[in-house]
Amino acid sequence: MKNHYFKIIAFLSVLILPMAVWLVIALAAPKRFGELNFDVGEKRDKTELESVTEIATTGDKVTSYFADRAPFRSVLISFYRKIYNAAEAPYEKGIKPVLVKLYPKGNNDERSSAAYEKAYEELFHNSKDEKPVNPEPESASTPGSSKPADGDTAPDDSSAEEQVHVHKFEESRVVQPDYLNYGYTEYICSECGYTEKRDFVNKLVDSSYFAPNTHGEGVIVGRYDWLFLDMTGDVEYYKGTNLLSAEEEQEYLTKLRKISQLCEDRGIVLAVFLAPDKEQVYSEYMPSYKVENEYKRLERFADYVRENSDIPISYPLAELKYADRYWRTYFKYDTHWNSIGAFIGVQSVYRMIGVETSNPSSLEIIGCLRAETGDLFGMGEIDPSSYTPEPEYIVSYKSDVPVVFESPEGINAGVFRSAAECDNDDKIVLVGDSFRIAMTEYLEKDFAECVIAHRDNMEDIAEDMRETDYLILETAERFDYLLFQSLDEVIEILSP
Amino acid sequence: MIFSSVIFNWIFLPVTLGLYYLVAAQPWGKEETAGRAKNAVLLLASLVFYGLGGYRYLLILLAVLVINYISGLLIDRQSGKVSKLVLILAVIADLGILFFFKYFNIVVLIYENLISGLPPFKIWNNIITLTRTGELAFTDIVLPIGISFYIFQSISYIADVKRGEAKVQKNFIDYALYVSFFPQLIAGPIVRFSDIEKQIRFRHETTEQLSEGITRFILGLSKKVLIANEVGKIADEIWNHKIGGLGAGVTWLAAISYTLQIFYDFSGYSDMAIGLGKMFGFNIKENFNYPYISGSITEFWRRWHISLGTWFKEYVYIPLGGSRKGLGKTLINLLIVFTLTGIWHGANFTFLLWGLIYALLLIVEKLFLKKALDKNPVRFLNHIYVMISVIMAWIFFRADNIQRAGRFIAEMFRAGDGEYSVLSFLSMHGIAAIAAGIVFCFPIYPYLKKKVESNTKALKVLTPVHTVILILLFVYSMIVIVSGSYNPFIYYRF
Repeated sequence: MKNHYFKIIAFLSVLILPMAVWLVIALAAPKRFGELNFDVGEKRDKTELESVTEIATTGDKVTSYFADRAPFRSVLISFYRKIYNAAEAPYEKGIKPVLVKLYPKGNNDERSSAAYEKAYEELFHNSKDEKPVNPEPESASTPGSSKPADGDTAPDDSSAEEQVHVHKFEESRVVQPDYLNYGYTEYICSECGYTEKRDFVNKLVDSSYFAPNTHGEGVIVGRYDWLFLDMTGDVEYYKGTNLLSAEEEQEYLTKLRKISQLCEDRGIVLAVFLAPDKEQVYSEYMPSYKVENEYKRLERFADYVRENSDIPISYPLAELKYADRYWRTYFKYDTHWNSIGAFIGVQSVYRMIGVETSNPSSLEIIGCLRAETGDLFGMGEIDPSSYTPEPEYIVSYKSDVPVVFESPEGINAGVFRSAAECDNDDKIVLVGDSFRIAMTEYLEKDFAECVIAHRDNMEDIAEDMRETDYLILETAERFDYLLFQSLDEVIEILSP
Repeated sequence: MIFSSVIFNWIFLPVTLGLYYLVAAQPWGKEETAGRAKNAVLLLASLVFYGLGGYRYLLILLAVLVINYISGLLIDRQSGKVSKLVLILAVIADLGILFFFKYFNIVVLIYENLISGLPPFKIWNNIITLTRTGELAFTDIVLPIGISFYIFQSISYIADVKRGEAKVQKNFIDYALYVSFFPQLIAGPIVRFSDIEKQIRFRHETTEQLSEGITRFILGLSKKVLIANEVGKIADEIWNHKIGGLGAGVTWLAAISYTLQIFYDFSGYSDMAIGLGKMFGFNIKENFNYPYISGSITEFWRRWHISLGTWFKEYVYIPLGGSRKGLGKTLINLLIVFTLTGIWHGANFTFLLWGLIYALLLIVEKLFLKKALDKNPVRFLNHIYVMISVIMAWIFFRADNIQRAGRFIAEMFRAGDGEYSVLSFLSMHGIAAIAAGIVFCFPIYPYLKKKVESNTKALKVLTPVHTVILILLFVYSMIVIVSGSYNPFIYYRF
C-alpha cells in the first residue's frame, strides 16, 4: 500500500508541481521568470490564439499555444539537448566511423580544378586591377593542380615553364579557424623565403563514404559540419537528376529571346545570371550522394542558351569554385553566398554586359565578424551551440563613392533604389531573389542609378525595367523554376 | 487533444482528476449524488477534451449522441418491426454521417475524374494516386477526429439494445459518457455498452486501481513517446524520400520501423486509455495482446486491435452467418469483414488493399495453411511467415497511394546497392528505440512481473525500484514532449 501511495504522490507531483511552481515564479519573481524563459534559438514568436475560430476545426493551435508556454520549457529543451547529444556522441564518434568504413567511397565531385582556374582567370582578364589575386596564383599553383588534400599537404611546388624559380614549399604554421578567422596554413619556400597562406584548415577532405542525411525541414549535414539545403528537392540539382527536358529548354529560350528582342527595341542590355547553389560550389563537403549527371541542369541550360542565341547568360560555378582557394565564398551554415561570393557574381554580370571587371583582390577586407547568418540551423532543428561559430568578411568597396538610397529597410527591401555619384552614368535594374541582397553593395556603387528588386515585386518596378540601361534577371540555382515562371511577366512589362 | 501533449498532462488531466476526486469524496454526503456528479464531471471533461480538438465537431458528436440515445429508447419501447425499423434508420444515419465525413471526398474525386474526359490511363492514375481534377468546386471535407470510433460504439449500443444484450440507458448523461468518455473517445478501444454499463452507474475508485492506472498510463505514454515517435522518425524520414534508389536495406529499415511504430503508437494509446479509465474507476478491456508473437494471421487478428475485431465479429461476421453456413460462405464473410475493416481505417485504396491482403491470408489459412502451421514443428518459421506478411501489409497502410506502395515493395527486393545506406537514417536513439521495440514485442514485462510477484523477497525490493523507474520514465517522457514543441521558424527569405 505504501508503494501505491508513493507512486500516486510522485505521479501527481509531476502532473501538478511544474505548473504550480512556474505560476508562482511568474507572479512572485517576474525577473527570474524572464531569465528562465531564455531563447532556445527558435527565432519566432510564441503561438498566439487570436480568435476562437482558429480552434473551430483543429486543436493544433491550442496544443501549440500551451506547448509554447510549458513550464520551464527553455530549461527542459536545453536539458534534453544535452541528454540527446550525450547519448548520440558515442555512436557518432565510436560506432558510426567503424560502420562507414564498410561502405564504398561516394562519388563526390572530383573534377579537375584546371577548368575552374581557367574560368576564374578569364573572368578577370579585362580586370582594371592588374594586381594578381592574393595570394599570387602563378606562384601558388599550376593549371591542373587540385586543391590541397588536407591541412598537412603543401600546395603544388611545381610552376609554369616560363618561371625561373620553382618554390619549394614547406609548411611553416597552421592558424586554426575561429569566429574571427577562417584559418589557414602558411607555407614558406625553403629556397627564397617566399611565404604563402594557403588552404583553409579542414580543407579537403575525405572521400570515404559519408551517409546522406536530412534533418528537420530539409537540412543536410555535410562533412566537417557544413550544412546544406534540401527542402524542396534541392539536392536533385546537385545529383543532376532534374535535367530540363528539350521542350522545356526550348520553351524558356523562346521566352528569353522574346525578352531579348523587347530589350533591344528599347535599347536595354539584357543578361541572365544564375547563381550556383552552395551544394555545387562546396560539393566536396556534401555527403556521398550519387551524382547521376556531372553535366547538370543549369550548366546545360546556360550552354543551350549560348549555343542557340546571343543572350548573355552566366552560371559562374567554376569561378566560384576556384575562388575558394583564396576566400570562402558561401556561408557554412547558411544557404547564401557571402560578400566575396556576391562580388564574384557581380563581376560575372559585368563581364556579360561589358562593364569593366575588378579582381577580388581589389576589395578591401577590413575584418571579420561573427556571422549573423545561419538559417540552416533553424531549418534543420540543429543546436548551433555544438558548432564552431562562423566568421563573416567585412568588405569595403569604393568607400569614396557617395550613395543615396531610398528604401528605409536598406538592401533587404523588396525594392531597393539607390543613386550614386560615380563615373558610370547608367542605370541598372536587377530582378532576382535573396542572392541579390549581397550583390547590392557593389552594384549601388558602380551605377548612377540602381534598382534591385525581388521578382515578387516586379510590378512595382515595371517603369524602371522599361527605362533602364541594363536589365539583369538573376536567380539562385534552386529557384530557377521561379525565374522561368516569371519570364511571362517580364515580357508583359516590356511589351509596348 | 492528444495524451502525449503538454496541455493534456499539465492542464487537462490534473484539473479533471482534481474535480473528479473532489466530487467522488461525496461532499454532499450521498453516494448516488456523488455518482451522478462524477459522471457529469467526466462528461464535461470529455466534451472539453473533444471540443479543444475543433469545437465545431462537438455538434457532430452531439448529433450522434442524440440520434442513438433516442433510437435506443425507441427500440426499447417498441417491439418487432418498428423497433427493427428504428434500428435500421439509426444505423443508416450513423453510417451516413461516417460516410459523409470519411468517404465523401474520395467519391467526389472518383466522380470528377470519370467526368473529366481525360484518357483512361490518366483517370486510373489520378484515382489511385488520389488526385482531384477540380472539375467540381467542392472543398475537401475535414474528418472529425475519432468519428469512426464513436460511431461504431454508438452502433454497438443500439444493436445490443435491440438484441437484448444491453439495457437501454435512460439517463442521457450516463449514455453520453459511455460514447464520449475521453480516454477512449478518439482512438478506442471500442467499448460495448454491456461491458461498461454497471461501471457507469456504480463504481468505486480504489487506491490500488488508481495506482494501477498510473502504471498503465505511464507505460503507454513511454511506449508512444520513447519508442513509437523515435522509430516513427526513421520511418517518416525514409518515406519522405524519393523511393527509387533507396535500396533494399533502407526500405526494410523503414518497413520494420513502421511496423514497430504503429504497434507502439496504437497499443501505447490503448494502454493510456486503459490506465486513464482505471484512474476514474473504469475497467476497459484490453485492445492488444502481443500481436507480433503470433504464429498465424488468424492468431494475429485475435491479438491485434481486439476491440475492432470483436466489433466486426459481433455486428458483421456473425450476423452474416459467420462460419456456420459452410466453407464457401465463411470465406465470403471473411472477405466482406476484412474489406470493411480496411475501408474503416480510411478513404484510400491502400487501406482497401491492406484489408484484402488480410482477407486473402485468412482465406488461405482457413483453406489449408492454418493446419500446416499448427503441425509445423519449427514454430519459428510460423513467426517469420506472420511477420513478413504483417510487415508487407503495413507498407500499404503507410503508403500515400498504391503506386508508392508498389514502388516501395519493388525497392525492398531490388538487387544491388541503393543510393543511401541505413546509416543515413540511424542514430543512437533510433537504434535504442528499435532494439527496445523488438524486445518489448515479446511478453517480457508480464513474465518478469509474474516472476517477481511469486518471490516475496524480490517483490519487496523491486516494487519501489519499479515505481522509481516508472516515475523517471514519466518525467523523461514529459521532457521529450516539451522538447518536441521546439519549432524553429523557417525564415525562408526568398
